[in-house]
Amino acid sequence: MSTLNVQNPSPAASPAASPLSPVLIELGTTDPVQLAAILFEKNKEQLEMQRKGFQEDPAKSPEENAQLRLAWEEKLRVLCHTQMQIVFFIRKTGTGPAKAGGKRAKKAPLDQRAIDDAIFG
Amino acid sequence: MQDAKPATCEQGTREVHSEAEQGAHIPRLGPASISFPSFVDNTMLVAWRSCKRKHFWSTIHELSPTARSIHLVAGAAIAAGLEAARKRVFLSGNPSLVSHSQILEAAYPAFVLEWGDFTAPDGHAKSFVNTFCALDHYLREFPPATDVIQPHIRPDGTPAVEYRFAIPLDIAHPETSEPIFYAGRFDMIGLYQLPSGAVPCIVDEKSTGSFGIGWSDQWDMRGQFLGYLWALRQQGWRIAHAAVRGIAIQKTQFQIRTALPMYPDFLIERWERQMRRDIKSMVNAYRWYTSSAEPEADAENVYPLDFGNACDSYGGCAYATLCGQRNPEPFFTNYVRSRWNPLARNPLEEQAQGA
Repeated sequence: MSTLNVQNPSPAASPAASPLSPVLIELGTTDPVQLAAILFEKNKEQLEMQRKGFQEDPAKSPEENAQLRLAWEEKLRVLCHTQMQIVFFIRKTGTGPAKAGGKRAKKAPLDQRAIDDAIFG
Repeated sequence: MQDAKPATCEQGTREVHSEAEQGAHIPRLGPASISFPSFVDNTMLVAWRSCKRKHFWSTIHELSPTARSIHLVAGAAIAAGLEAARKRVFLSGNPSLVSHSQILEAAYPAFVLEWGDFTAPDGHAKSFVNTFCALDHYLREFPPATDVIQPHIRPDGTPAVEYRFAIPLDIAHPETSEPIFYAGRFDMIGLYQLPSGAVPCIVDEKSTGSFGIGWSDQWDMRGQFLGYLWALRQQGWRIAHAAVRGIAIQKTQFQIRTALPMYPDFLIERWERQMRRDIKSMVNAYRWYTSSAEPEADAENVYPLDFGNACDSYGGCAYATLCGQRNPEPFFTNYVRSRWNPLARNPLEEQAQGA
């Protein structure tokens, strides 16, 4: 299967000023292409979870199965949360307008201080 | 005087053959491979009215293109997400306390399940990410708890979302003699909150690429909605309005518009009369074709080609490949047998690969 599409990745566009979500920090990348691949795999995982559904263990008691079901639902919820964080980050960095009016962000400004330091010491 | 030679058109691509060789060979796949549907919906009616041959391929032979339509997939996924979102809110006991995050947590799994393994074409605006973000945008613009269109709440407390119906007609199935059903589904029975009071309406969300100038007006003669309103009247509802929410999914922005067409009684009744006439005609055509001693010869009489707008509208008819061949049977591999299920969110249910 091919990876998910990444809409118009814009390397020059910086992420929003707000800090990265803990989810993205944990994933260890903000590269939209890598994130798209991660999202693809997680979507696949979730799809399999949903299609299979929660499987009761006949060897366990109803109370134990109820706990297992809650754990399964929580796993699905956490997975969804991660997936959505990736989705919104890809959208924001890939295709979202950096400014109102739909214009793309300008390149990040040069670090003038660093340049000055380099030139003037 | 010279013998007449076969005429050639200026382009040199066609020859006029003898009368016996003209006409496409329309193979029957076998009596077991052809069937008349038990459930007829608006899509089948539209196909019948636009081109009998399209009806022949899509409804009678149950052929559909192998490639899934991005538009159907995206639309179905949005509908699934909205259904889950609305249920999350209106089954919570206190709709106003359900946060946007909680709504999305309910919508996302439903969206993923409906989207399935589909991969959108490269660069398409209706990518997975973009389409889900459009859903998120819609739910922010119209939070279910405060949307001006509120769902009808059934006596059991459930919201009337993903409403399905199947109304039996007094038209006998040509094979089983059982009643044929007019069937369909729509997104919601709603109440449009106006200062003067709540107006009941059917609600349908439509995803699109952009809003043309006539977007709001195109629904005035929409058989799909007339059919919904007719079906609801068979079930005791008296609704005359539709609320159509359009969601334009573009690469860098989303737009939403609402149209509120109203349908007078006489128009609904007129639609019903035509629906019955059309289904009876479908049945008669099927009987003629299946009882014919020369189905290939009769097919063009019973299921003629449009040779017009139906062939090239909406990006081209999916069956033009078959209609353009002298012998279409080798090209059946371009299609799959899919029974159109009008009650499913994505109505194509694949039966088996290949035709």
